[in-house]
Amino acid sequence: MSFLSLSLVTYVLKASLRDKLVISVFSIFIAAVSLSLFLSSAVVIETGETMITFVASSLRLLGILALILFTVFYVRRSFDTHDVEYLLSRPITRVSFAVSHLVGLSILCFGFVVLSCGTLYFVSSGEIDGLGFLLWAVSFLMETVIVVHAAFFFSMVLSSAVSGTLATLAGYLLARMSGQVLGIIDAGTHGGEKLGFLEGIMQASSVIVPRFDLYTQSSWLIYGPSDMVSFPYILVSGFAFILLIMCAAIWDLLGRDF
Amino acid sequence: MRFKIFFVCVICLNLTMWFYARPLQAQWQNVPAAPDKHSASAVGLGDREFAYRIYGLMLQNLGNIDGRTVKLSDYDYAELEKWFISVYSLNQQSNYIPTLAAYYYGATNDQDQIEHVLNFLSLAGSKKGGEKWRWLTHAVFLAQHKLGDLDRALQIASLLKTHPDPNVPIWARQMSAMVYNAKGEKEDAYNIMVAILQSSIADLNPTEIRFLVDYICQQILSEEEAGIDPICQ
Repeated sequence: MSFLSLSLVTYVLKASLRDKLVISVFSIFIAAVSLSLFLSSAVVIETGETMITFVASSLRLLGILALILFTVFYVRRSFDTHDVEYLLSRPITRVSFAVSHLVGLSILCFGFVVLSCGTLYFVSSGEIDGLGFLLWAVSFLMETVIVVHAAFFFSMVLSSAVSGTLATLAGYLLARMSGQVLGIIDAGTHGGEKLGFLEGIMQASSVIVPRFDLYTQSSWLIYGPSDMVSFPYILVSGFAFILLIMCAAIWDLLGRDF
Repeated sequence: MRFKIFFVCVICLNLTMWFYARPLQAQWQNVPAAPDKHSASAVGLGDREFAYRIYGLMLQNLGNIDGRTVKLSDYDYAELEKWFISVYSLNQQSNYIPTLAAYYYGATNDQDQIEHVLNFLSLAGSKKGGEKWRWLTHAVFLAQHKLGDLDRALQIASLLKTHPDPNVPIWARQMSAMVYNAKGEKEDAYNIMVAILQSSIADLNPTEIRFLVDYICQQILSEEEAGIDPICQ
């Protein structure tokens, strides 16, 4: 029994073309780069560093947002139009259905990361730290794949596209802010005893929330990788979260009645 | 008919709001409260570099609102110092925030305000690597010539003398001697310059050695003292 259906993978990729995802993202990338160039040209010194930071950060945020929206609306539409029932009536197992979709979405993420890296390298004229750029690219790929997996999971579990989008965005924001949250807890600068229960909730939730504050740092592009984060951490923690969400999505699908 | 009356009322309400809001303009509320260093990177969604650049751009344009420009003397420099320190904690390799502090906000003529700039430059200049010591030399200049406080200048110059960066050039390390000289404390100035000369003579360029000797003999010592000092022979 195969866990991967190539026709389903192709189906997801064709859906992204059908939804005009690629052309839309390409357009907003041009707008984001233009705005970043404009803003960075206004700084008094370190124009190049500022431009790299603004371009990298805006591409990352817009790319993530586009992929979340596409994934959630694609999955919800598949349920609403009974495409899921139709596809599962074919000789495809539920596990293969979920894995093939996630692989298809991951290939889409890879394409986006390549496009982002190409754009970044082009606008920076190659004035970028090589090893930092590689770590940034790998980290960005892991980040997008994790987020897309989460969007797939939430859109399966929640019956509304709006709820799925909001849940994924909230999870993404929490993941990006988790470093600050944990830092505030460790420094003891929060509201004190009255908010102690919130501290417990944040500590507990941080177990299943990836530390995106350690991922895809713009500073790596300028000063090189920091001592705090390395390739093994990004890869191992990334795969751990990807597998966790994939298992959760498969579990939900296996228990679902059609 | 009722709908028409309601519609007219809605238009009137909008007109009233327009009359209320028309004279209102953006006002300078002075420097906003600085973020805590633990949460400063939140604005970049966890990306410290992104947060640093956003805050930097904000600090660069602070006060330039609504086509008007605010005088530096109207800025709350105590809050600005907190901003500098908080934002600088996000990226200590960049020179963007120290540049803004030294060359833009350091242009003020208010002595109390300069004190806040000096506090930050002393912090930024004490870091090792990346020629950060340059901010200390700028701080010495501001303290000596703009603030007119030689004791403060000496305090900052002493940071240069003991700076952990081995690449600090000799002229920067000897700044405390120059401040002592300006204060009239010739003996202290002389001792520092001689110590630098003796400890670094093997590594120094002949031009630098000549400069040191010339400074000792021409600026610190009097003509009679130079005549009997072995260094000046």
